[in-house]
Amino acid sequence: MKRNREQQGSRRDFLRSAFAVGVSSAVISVEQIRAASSKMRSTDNAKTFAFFRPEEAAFVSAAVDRFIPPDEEWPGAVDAGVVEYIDQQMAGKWGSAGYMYWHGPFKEGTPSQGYQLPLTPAELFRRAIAAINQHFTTQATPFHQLSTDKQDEYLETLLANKTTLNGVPSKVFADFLLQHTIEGFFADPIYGGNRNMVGWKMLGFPGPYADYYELIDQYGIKVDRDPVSIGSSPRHHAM
Amino acid sequence: MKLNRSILIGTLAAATAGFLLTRSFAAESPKTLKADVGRGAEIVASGTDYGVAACARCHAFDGTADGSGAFPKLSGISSYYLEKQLRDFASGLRTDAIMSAIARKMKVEDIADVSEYYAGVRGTPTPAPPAAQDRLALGTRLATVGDEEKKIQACEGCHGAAGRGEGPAIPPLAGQYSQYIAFQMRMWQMGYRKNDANQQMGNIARRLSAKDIEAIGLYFERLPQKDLAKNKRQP
Amino acid sequence: MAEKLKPVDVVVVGVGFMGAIMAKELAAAGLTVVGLERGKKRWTVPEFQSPDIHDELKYSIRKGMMQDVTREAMTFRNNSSQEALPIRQWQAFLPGSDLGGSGVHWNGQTFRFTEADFVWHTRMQERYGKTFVDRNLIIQDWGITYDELEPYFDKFEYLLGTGGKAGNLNGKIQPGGNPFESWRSREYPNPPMKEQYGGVLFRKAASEMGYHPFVQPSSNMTRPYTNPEGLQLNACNYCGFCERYACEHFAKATPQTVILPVLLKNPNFELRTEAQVLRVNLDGHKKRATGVTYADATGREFEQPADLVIITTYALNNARMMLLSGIGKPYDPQTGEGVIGRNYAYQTTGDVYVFYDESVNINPFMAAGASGTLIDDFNDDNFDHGPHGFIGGSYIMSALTNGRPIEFHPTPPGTRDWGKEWKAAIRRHYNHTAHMLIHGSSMPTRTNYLDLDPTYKDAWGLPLLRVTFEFPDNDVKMTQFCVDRAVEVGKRMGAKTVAGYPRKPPFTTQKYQTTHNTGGVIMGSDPNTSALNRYLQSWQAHNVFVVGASAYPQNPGYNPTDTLGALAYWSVDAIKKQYLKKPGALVSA
Repeated sequence: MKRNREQQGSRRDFLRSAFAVGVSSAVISVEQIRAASSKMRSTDNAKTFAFFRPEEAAFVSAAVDRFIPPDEEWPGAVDAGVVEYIDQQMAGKWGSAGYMYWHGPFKEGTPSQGYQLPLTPAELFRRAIAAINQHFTTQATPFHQLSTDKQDEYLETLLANKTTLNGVPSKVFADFLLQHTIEGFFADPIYGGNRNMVGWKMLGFPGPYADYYELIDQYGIKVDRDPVSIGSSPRHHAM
Repeated sequence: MKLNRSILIGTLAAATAGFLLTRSFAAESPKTLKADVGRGAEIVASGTDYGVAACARCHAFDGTADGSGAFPKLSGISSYYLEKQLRDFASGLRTDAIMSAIARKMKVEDIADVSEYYAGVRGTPTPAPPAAQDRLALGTRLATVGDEEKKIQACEGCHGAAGRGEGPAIPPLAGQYSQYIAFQMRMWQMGYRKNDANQQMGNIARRLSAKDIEAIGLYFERLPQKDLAKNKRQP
Repeated sequence: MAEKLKPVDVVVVGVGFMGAIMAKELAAAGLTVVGLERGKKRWTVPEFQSPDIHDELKYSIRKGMMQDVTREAMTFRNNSSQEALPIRQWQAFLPGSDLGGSGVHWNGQTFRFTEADFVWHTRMQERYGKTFVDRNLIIQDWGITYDELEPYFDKFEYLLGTGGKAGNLNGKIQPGGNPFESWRSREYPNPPMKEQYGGVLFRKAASEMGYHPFVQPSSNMTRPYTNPEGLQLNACNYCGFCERYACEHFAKATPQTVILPVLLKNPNFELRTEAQVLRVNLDGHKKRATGVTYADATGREFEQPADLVIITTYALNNARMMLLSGIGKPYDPQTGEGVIGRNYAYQTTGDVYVFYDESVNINPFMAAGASGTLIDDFNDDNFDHGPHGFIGGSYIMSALTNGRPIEFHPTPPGTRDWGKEWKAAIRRHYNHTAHMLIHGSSMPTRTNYLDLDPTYKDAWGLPLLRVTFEFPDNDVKMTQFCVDRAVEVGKRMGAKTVAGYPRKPPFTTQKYQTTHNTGGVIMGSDPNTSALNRYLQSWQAHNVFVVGASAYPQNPGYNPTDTLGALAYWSVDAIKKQYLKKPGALVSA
């Protein structure tokens, strides 16, 4: 599960050179972002992920980059490390349903009753993505090579529950993927996503060091400091 | 000419003092005031001709002060915090034998300018004096974990990871002279310093022993002073 | 075979807020008290220190402070025609666990119920006539009056160090407070919180409309405070990590900061953690508890004999404990008979979002757990319900308790919830959106109830609690009305867009709506329609007291904790002054 330190280091160096670190106002061209991320993807897919197989990572990368696309000002999900985040989650306790009541019998319920499939999050991902990839073998182009418009179209059909994926209602999977994308974009960087705190910088959320007694009643004040991650404290530990 | 000028200065000083005194806690420095870093550097280097002493005489031009620990390092502390301290010296909310008189001579622009200057300056690292392991361990514990019995939360919870501060209102402690930290903690402890927003510091200081205070100073002194120039003032 | 331990005077099951209060008072009175807590010990230092504690994924999303759902969940259905299925992950409500219980991760919002609330059934009839209230609602009087409870509210608020401004001092309305509150005998121990920017904007609009805004009473300390137990608390820093998190500053009133250190110093008291109480044991006649049986972390079982059993495991778990132990007849919604599980209620909440332009920096992350500004004009029985056809109401409160980005990234209606447009919208609106919580009452019905699930079990093989709940029409009407009023205020606040979201059926377990579950082991005057008498003493087993919001016959529009603390002190006072002198029923049936 732990990434090779060397790879980690070289990827970090690569990131630094690929785009500016730590300064929220840097303007990066879209071309630079795409070049950086596609280079990362080609080197990472085969070796780096603890959970995702290359064909799974290919779909997930493309999909999350539609949920939170890169733009002129801000990186998208992939560049923010969302795929790494989801990968770590799937490979860990959350992925194996370690945070859920996991006793049967498993029965189909009403929407009010929430998730009742007998599939752990990791199994859900594996199963649904396998169905998606299987579907695309019958198409001319794989999902990750479609135009962004076509990709969006496909994701909308999933979210609208227009199909089932090896028995999984497509909306269940798509909602799941979207939720994980948001988590990966905004959770503390110790979990592998929100690289360089881009998610926080984009919103203007100052992060876990938070003491505002003096500022709260200075109505309208703009807090201008860079956010700081839990990882900056030597004592920190993730879940 | 001179007479008129001194009347003008007197009026300005009075207006400034009045202005500063009427500034309530919540109301910040005028939002329209744009700080002039260049002018700030001038005042830091050579003072003003109406009697504001050159800050550099005690705090050094790069904010590193003179190594004695009697004067704090100012480099990289947010302009917001520095401005507040100067205003508080001027109004009497904070008192110091030297700083009170200096601050009272400063105009609002002077305060803004020198604060902006020091906030953006990178100081020179100073070697921390040797410290006993058990003292450092105590200081590390109090600063990064806190103490349940004494009801002390970790200093770094407010003063930032590795003491870098939590801009703009909470100052960094990283690299600050341990003697100065200890001196201020005693001032908080004895109630001579009271100008923090939520009366937190006095409370905390009164629960610390002299040994605790020394240890905390020793811990923070040896932390690297990061480039803190990002703690900008508000627009 | 369970190992039988040496008897003690009192067993307290669950060492959260109420357990700590009950234990402390009884140990101080000279009794030997054992507190059994299923979870672990934890303290401000080191467990609650930042930055680690400010981990949104761990605590908000993965529910790090909550009851371990992998071992002890609950099942849910909207009505009896459905099959209840497990709540496999907490979302709607988040029961706490470990030392201090939910008292550690609560927000500190501290409201008293009103005089009317304790005699709700009588009051509704008196004011609106015998046929006004929907027949499906089974509202009841509590068997106690506000006046009797007032000194105990005072005691609890001074324990907590609640900050606020009295609105009614001994009958005289005070400026700056809530003019609708019931009388209080003295001011709050601490001054009110600072208001958020959104609160100030709300206050202006609400005042202009003739309403009566005031600052929310808060048990996040507004200044350093030493409580009557001699414990010191620090001032709150408005960090925006209050609910679902513990406080690193010793600034939130929690059992750890306001009472536990004193309790643990008393040699009469022994704390045992990782002790899962499986049931209360009864004698042959089932009129007297003999103690409890619990399992330790390795699964070994112990029997702890005791003369007095206090159940403080949280409202929902209290009902379950009574059912598992056979104390009180289980409620049957078909016949209407039985008492354990009846009058289950919740909290009916809605939201309003107020979208400003980019010049207005709302700063949602600058927040305490209880730093709202609100109006009580449409809550409780504070207005004439005659024209409206429902009872109860909501307070309308401008508050953002946080700006944590996984949870908070509002967009105006019509924005797609992913993609380029969404990304631009969240960036545009994150720091420029105010919010109102419409926090409303929940009326009990014949068909909403709690019982034991027939299928699903916990890690000890015991049936899970089954929750059967749907919003009654009364509450749906109420929340729509209150959200409409709130939207009007929102428009007056000068925003570009205002969006109101009233609660609509079906109730879903998938969206957070407060952890204010009430009822199931209710107090009252009649043993046929209540499980406890007015002292929270079981009608059936006289040495069993059940202290939780499980005692509430219905849930008013105010947060439940303040009233619960008052009831705990009231109950333990009765135990000390009456029960210990003459053990037996304190109220003749």
